[in-house]
Amino acid sequence: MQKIIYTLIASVCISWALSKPACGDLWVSNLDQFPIGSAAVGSDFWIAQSFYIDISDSNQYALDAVQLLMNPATGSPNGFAVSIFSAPSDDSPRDYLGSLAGSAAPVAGGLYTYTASGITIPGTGFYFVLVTSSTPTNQGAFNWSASDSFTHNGSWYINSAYYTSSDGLNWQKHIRDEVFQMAIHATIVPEPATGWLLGVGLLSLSLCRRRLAREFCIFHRA
Amino acid sequence: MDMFLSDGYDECMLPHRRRPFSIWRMCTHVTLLITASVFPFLTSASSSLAEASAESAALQFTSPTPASQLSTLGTFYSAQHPDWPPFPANVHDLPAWDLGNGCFLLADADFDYEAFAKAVEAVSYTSGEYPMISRDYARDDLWISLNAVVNGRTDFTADLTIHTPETSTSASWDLYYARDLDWQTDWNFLMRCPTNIIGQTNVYARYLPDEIAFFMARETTTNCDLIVTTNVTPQQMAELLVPPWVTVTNVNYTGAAVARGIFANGNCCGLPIDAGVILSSGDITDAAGPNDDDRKGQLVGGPPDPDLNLLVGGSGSADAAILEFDVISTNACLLKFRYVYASEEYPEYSGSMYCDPFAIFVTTNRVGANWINTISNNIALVPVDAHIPVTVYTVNGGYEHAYEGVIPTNAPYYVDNHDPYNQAVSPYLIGEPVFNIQYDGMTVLLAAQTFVDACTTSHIKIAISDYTDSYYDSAVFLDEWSHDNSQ
Repeated sequence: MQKIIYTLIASVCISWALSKPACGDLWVSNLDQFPIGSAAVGSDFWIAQSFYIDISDSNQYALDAVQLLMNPATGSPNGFAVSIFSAPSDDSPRDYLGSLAGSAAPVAGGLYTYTASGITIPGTGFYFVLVTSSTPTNQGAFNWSASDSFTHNGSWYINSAYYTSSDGLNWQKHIRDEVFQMAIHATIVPEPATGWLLGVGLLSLSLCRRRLAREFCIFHRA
Repeated sequence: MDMFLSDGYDECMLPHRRRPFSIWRMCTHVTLLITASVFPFLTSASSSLAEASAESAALQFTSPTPASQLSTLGTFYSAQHPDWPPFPANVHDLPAWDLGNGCFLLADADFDYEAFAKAVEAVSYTSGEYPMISRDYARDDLWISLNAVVNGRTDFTADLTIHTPETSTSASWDLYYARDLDWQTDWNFLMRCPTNIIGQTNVYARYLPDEIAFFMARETTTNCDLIVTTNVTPQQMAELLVPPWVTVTNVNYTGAAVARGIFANGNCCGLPIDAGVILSSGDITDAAGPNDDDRKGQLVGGPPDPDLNLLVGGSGSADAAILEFDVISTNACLLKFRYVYASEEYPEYSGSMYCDPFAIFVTTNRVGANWINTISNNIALVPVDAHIPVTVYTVNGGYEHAYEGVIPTNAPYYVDNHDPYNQAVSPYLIGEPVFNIQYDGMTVLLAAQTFVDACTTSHIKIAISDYTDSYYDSAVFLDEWSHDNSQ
């Protein structure tokens, strides 16, 4: 009987885990919008697409992944890199939060997934998905697909502003022009109080389990 | 008795009342004094008139001073009709007694005002001409015609035309009003009137609190900086907007802290509201002029608002600033909010999805702790229609563009402030930004009002947001409550 119960619990846990997407929850995406073109990405042409979480959202999020819709590359580019930046206000990228792992050569058109590790983004903040490469655009360029409108889902927004730079230091703002196509996946980080409750719950379960196991053993000895 | 009838006057506008009169008089190229009485009785000046009549008895034994030796301008009481409002000038070049302090008593016992008025009415004017009352106006004169008067339920509107001197290069004229002409007339700023391309400006002086109003126009000479501050609590903001006998409770503000506050110096920036509450879909410090940017605004992280979405029929609100509070009054009373809605979206996004809605929802309907708002709860409406909310889409002066042009919508309620790079459609565009605020256009002074029952809690929600994205900010300037403005 006990084996059946354990098997059931294990099945439920595995099913729940499998039902979750591999890269966390999808919070906002404009991948379904009609593309109007693309922009070249190179070491001399950085692009930072802005996204933000409005002030009604007090969650903390662990960024899991960003998916980018790319058009076929031109020339022979390489060293494509994706990173996340933040800014204290609606301003150009300022604070580096981390780099994402994924294809360094998204040369064929399609959807590319870049995964994050250890990047926490608080709700109520201004962020950027920043892309560049190691080759100048006259040698070859990756092409990031663009739509033309702002997208939002709940408190998450892919904004109608992006920034460009030739060196990653000086940025020029563009609004109501193009909106680069991407999807952002993240997981809510439990609040400390929730963590404590969970910890206490797990500890209690553990103690109960030890007690049950002891009784089970006694039963078998008998 | 009729005196002077301005061209365009419609008698139907004033049923069951004596005809109003208007008096014009040229002063200088830059200053003109005009009085326009909505009613022919000057009740508020009765004490002054009694004094004037008493002096008249004493003065009848002295000879009046000939008109040629008198000041042209002043306060001229009629001896024949002491119940009339005073003339702002010696319109008929009559002799008068000098009472001191710029006041005169006209020796008009023998003057036939009725015959004069009939003579004026007998003249048929062709289009573009106006009655010349006591003299012909030269092209370099400044004068005002009173075209119509509309009596509202709780206030009054005068339809005026300011005829500007042809030689004047002033881009705008400031219109003032007074309740009476007294020894020391207190002129109140009413509105700034940009000069349109045909050299005159047609204005509606709305929400006049009194049945009697005297108007004065003069070239705009002052332009100061708008003062805005966020250093105020939402409770203080809410209390500024309602009468002191209305209790305000449960005040809640939702939005970025930089998007709400109070403002001052509005009149000297050209706004018809001098001081009050400001809510913005961006940072309120961006509201200060001059208008040197066609796309000022920033994302401040405000949330969307479902009620504003409902109003527009979409889901694109963003960067909302929402002030909510409950009110309860011991007596049934009229709640009136006077406001000006301004936006950086004008004129290039006039007909677009970037409509930036504004609303004042008033409701007594709630389920549990949640107040229920619907489209019909919004009292901030375009005056021409009882259902249209105030947005960039519903009130604008159009957009002049070869391929993406937009025709004006409810343009009489729109005031342009000269976007540096884009133009509204003629005649609604102006040549330079005469209002010292950053926004490219705005509404005229509008009012939202509703009656609230005694001892019943009503919930008020004042909200503005960007729409479709978070840029090109909009703002609403709400007048602080005063006995004069909000009754």
